[in-house]
Amino acid sequence: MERIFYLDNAATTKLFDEVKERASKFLCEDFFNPSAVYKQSVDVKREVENARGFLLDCLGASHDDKLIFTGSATEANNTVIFSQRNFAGKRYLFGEGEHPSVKECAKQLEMKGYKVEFIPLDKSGRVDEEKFKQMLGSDVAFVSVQHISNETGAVNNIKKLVTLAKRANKDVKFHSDGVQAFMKFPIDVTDLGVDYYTISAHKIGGMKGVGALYVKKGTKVNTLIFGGGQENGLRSGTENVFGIASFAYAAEKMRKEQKQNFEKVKKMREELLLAFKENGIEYVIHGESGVPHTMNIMLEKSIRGETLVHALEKRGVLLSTGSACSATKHFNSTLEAMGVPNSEILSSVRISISPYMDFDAILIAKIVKEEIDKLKG
Amino acid sequence: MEKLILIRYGEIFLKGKNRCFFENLLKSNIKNAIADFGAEVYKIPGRMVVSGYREEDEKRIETLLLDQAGIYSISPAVMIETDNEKIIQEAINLVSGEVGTFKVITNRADKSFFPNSMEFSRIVGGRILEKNHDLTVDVNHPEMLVSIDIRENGKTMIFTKTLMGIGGMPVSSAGKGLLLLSGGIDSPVAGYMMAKRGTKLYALHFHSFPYTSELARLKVEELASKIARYNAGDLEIYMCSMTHMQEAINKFANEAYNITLLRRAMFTIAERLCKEKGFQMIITGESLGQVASQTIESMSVVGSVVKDIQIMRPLVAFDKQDTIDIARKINTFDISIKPYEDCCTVFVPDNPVTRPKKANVEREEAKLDFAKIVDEAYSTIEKVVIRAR
Repeated sequence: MERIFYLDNAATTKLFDEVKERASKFLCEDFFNPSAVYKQSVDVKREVENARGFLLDCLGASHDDKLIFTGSATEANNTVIFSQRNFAGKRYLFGEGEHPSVKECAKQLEMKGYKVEFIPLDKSGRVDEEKFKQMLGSDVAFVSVQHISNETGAVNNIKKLVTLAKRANKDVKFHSDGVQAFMKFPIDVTDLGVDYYTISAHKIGGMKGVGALYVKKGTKVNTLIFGGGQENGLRSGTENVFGIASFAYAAEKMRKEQKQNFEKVKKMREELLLAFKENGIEYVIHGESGVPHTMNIMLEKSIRGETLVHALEKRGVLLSTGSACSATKHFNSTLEAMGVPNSEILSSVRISISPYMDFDAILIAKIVKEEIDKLKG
Repeated sequence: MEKLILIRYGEIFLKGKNRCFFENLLKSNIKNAIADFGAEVYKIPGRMVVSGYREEDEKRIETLLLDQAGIYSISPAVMIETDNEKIIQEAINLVSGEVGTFKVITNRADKSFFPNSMEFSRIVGGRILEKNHDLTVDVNHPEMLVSIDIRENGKTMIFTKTLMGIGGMPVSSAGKGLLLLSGGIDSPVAGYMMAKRGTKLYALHFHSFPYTSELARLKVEELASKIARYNAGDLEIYMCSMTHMQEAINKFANEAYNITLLRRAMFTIAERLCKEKGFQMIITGESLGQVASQTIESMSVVGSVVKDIQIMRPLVAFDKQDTIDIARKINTFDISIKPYEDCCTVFVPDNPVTRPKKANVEREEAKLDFAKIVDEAYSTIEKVVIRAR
């Protein structure tokens, strides 16, 4: 069978085999609804609570804080943003490079007449801190800035942004979409100072269909989905127990292997870039490297990124033209915000590396070179 | 570089010759509370240190320490070799990403360290300003203190944060108490108040399965996991079935006396358990006049079944709102208000007697084989140990 080099791990990751095995008891054996009143169900509920506690630990949060399980990180982001709708006349700030699940919500607020402003990015792909300072004021009620860019891997200094925002208005609520950051390095939401933080299971080797929203103790959050009152009335719908368990189990594995993973990915990235160079590929990376896991890269200016992605998919090298959730859109707004020229945006691709996937830098670079040469004719 | 947590005492500091006793208790409580993390705990003059844990566990350990009665405050710190440049670099690392005003304070236990404390603080402050343009110095009202503690053993401790604990006295310094733990708002608060004053808590919970559900038990376990945080990391709960007792009372006695009789049975069982296990007091969440069973007459007639053990009612003069405020602080409120039946809410009479007379109560009690049913309930007791969460 042809080898697959999956280089799109920012889009999703493969469910860990051991996680699948461990959590599978919740599909057939312990399939009970955690909200029912008999012992079998209460035992399942206990497992859900254990998963919640463990994930709060992984976030550096206290067990007194809330963690609401949702159907996706998108839902978690929607929940936060649409909880902020009672600040008439106040301003709402969003990073220009946010994931569509944040940015589209911001646009909805804007359409409903709220004062929404987008914080420009600097060339590195991070939120421009100087411009952010200028935008702040006592009338800023809400800020949402992603921890790590899903497009470039740039890391925002969330702790600093939170401090700046809270100095301008101590009541401001700060949300960070941490989907791309969770489990790449230790996260401490208490130290970051955020009020809300979003995470997702399928980016760390868990199941698709489960996200979670961290909410600091005492911070308000509104209900988006009404019904049976699960998740303390904050998110109705029968819990996805298998997914939730897979989330915690995957986090457990990732936490144990976090340090070595980071080093491994760093090395993999270096090897790949070196192999590109050795094959005569004159690449340009957009933005400064934040985490080594994700990079936006132009491999050949004269070839559209989308064309290259399709050419490579036939050879088993899978990468993306950008966030899978916005890959169908014409332009990459993050790169635009960073000031990357349109011609380069069109020729760019996103490579996102996982320490758990098949990888051979030399072979990948060779395939890329061959496909580029073919396309150039 | 080694990560550690520095612990300062509260009231223990006022103790004289017996201070060592309290320090040792606190140390042993801390060890138990953080037993899951493989950390070591040791005393240094006037303080205590936790070290040797994994970095990712630091936050959990901090939370658990902050809930130990007897701890005044803690500071997560780093310990490095005493070397001027290394100290400066570490201080710069610690404040990276910080915004606002700061001040550096140096303490030199090692007087051979050069330069002197004032001068070194000035140098470190200057170097921090060079690297972090979001910080400015304010020596009078700084938002952040960078503390540098140069010790005599060639090591230096640096920290920037101080987190406040709950104060009080180390658990187990003031006896062992049996907390009557329902699923309500009051009893967890009563337990917390006593633990904070040094009582080691054990809990007795009454259930009436199948009239109460497994969910009610889960609720009690959740409450216990919160109380355990203030009880040196765990709480032993004795679960006792009152089903037959409640059925008998309901069948034979005048309905108005249901709750009074039930509570007399509970206190009888509690005293027996105290004697068997060596607990010195029964702790309840009763508050004067709050409900029919908490009038002075009810408390007297119920309390009178306990002959040899102290009954502590730390909330007796509390308004409900005062109790709720503490319940929120100790994170039990949201659990307590979950709507599952507990054994006090099944078989509730429409018109309970509010001023029961002892003679009438004894007459009602005589209608059933009280002693035998108490024995039977006592024999159902099972112990569960809940760890802090």
